[in-house]
Amino acid sequence: MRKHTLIKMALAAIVASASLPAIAGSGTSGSSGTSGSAGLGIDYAALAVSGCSGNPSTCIPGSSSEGTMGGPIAGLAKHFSKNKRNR
Amino acid sequence: MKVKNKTVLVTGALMLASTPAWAQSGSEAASAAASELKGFAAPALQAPVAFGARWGTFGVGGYGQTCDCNDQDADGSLGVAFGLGDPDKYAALEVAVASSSLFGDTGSGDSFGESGSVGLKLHTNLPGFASFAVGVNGTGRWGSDAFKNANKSSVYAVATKMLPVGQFATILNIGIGDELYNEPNKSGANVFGSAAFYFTQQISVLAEYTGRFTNAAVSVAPFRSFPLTVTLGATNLGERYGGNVEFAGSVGVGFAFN
Repeated sequence: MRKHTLIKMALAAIVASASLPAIAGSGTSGSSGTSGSAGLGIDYAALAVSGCSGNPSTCIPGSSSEGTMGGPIAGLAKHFSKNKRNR
Repeated sequence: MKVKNKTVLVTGALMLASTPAWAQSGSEAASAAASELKGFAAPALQAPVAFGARWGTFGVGGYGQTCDCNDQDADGSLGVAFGLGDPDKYAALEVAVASSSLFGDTGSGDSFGESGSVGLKLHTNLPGFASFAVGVNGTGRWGSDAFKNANKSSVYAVATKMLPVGQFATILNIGIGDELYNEPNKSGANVFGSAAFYFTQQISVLAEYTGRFTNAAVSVAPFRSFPLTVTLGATNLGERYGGNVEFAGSVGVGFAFN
């Protein structure tokens, strides 16, 4: 377990280090909102909403993947399930 | 953002997602899927989070808000998302496609379905109910030149973690991103984040800063065993850039087919 955890953390660091220079090297300006709803976040909001920002159930694996789910939503499920059992 | 840099990032994400999964002991993974719990309230309104769809899951979502941006004084977008890979074993790639400018055609000149974009998010789950992701929103844009020029693609990196608060819980989310997650007409990156307080898994109140706007919302998953999430809130609470506080809402449904 420790090995895999270290591997995943190392990969996360690699991905982050790969992306940060790309962001920092940005030389263009942000969207100004000069065209309709551009810049308000509306046009891209569905990209997040159809995923897990506004729709966490998208992140829940099916029954064939029982017991394999991690991440914040798994934490929520475990926490509130424990509360319910304790009551 | 230089196109070359974004291309390299997205290509790297695709390569990572296609790498064979590494085995992970299930001892730390929660058995959430074993439960009948399918309704979860949302952790954010607009801000990206670090967890996402995996292979076998997909979602459909719609977003709308009032705005002083067209004759209809409202606009929205509609999207679908699916996942490739497994974030518990190694990493997964969430692919989302959105159709934009649903209500108004005054601003961009595009009508329903005529403009949109793609979002890619490479994400992995970490110990302690945490996740990490890098992604890009608004790549592969289609539509009028006005739409494509006004909406730049936005690259981000984000981390999310669930923390218990007594009998309640929070999901905290922080990231950095450019373009849409930065001040208008400003180069470089800015910080965004969100905090959601969960009274139960089905009810949350949330606040977020997108890098431009401060938003607040209430999210409800009305059915315990059906994966529907409804979120209603207000955007631009600080009335920035000469704008007003606007009403916003989203509806999402997620499914698993394996």
